[in-house]
Amino acid sequence: MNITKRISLVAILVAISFGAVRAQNTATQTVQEGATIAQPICLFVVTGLQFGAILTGSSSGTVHVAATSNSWTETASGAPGPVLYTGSHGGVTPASIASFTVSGEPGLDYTIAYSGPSIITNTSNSSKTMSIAFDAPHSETVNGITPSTTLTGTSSPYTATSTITTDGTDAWVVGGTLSVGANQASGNYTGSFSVTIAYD
Amino acid sequence: MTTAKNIATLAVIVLFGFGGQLRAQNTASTNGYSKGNIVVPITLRMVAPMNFGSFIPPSTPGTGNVNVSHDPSVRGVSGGVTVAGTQGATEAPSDWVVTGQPNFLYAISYGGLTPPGGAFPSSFTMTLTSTTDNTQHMTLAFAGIDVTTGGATGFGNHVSSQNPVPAQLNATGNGAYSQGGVLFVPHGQAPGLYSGTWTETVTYN
Repeated sequence: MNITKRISLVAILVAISFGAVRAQNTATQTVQEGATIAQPICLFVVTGLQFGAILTGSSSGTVHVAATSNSWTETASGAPGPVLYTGSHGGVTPASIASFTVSGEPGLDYTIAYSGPSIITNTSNSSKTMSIAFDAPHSETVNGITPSTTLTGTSSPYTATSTITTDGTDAWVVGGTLSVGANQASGNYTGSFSVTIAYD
Repeated sequence: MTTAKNIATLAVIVLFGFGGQLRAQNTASTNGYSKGNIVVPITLRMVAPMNFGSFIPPSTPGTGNVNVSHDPSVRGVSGGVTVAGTQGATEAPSDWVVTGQPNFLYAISYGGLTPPGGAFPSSFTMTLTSTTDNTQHMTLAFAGIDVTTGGATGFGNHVSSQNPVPAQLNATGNGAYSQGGVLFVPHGQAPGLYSGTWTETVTYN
């Protein structure tokens, strides 16, 4: 009697669990993987979106960190607006493009989404801010991890779809445009933005 | 009865475990970060002009000089020039104060010649003019620069005037330096107050 009851309860439990799996995966094939086999999807920040040292000008302008083929460039526009300081940084963090690596189940598609535009705030005067408009994510080798697919996405809303490589990894970068006011107050500005990835 | 209840409790616990694990496997979220740095603008202010004091020209033919070098050990008069009053009372190199981004490197240049890395003429000079007779002139040759706050880089502290001088602001964004010169005084120079101006420039590099 007791044994029979135990078996039936376990059966119900398994059914419920599988039901939950189906709700979160659209492809039937992935049900079993999602429940017991698929690698968890993980996201790692390698570098931030950093604009380095900027000299302000008498008019407003922009500074753009943009992805190129496995590299990135930084340009300023809006003269006599901001210009890039290219000399010794004297302790100021140099510019970089935001870069991310992903680990997960080989071959699975996933969606990238992130917030924006973002605000960065003067660390010594919170009333002083600048805004960043993000670019669409861009496939690029990061930390030796080379993506297998060319990522396609949009910059508004900031979403894209990619595929985990056969090695169970992926990588991409995110550039952006910083808006700098005329005679923007000097200082360090920092901020953060949320990035979420999810299996399709 | 008791056994059945235990099993039911266990089942609930396992169910929660599965639910949490599934969510973790499907989604990952993290915060990226952004940074920018607006550099403190660099400023330059003269706090004391170059001053050669009062003196008497050589009494015999020839040209003497008054030296207010950045290097105190070579200051003084020579070639027949005589100090009127107490030597060293008023003669002094020009003093300059710089403010800007902490630890940043900058270059000092003067005389309107500002090519980074470019050389000045070997004898960089300017002309002083009498304030009462504009046909009367004397010639001044710039001496070196002594960076007294922050640091000089590349040439040591007493640096040559032949090139823009590389210097560095200190950790609080301050710098200061003095710049001297040598005034050439010929026999028979007309009495009067002589003055002139030049351009001093600091640039981040």
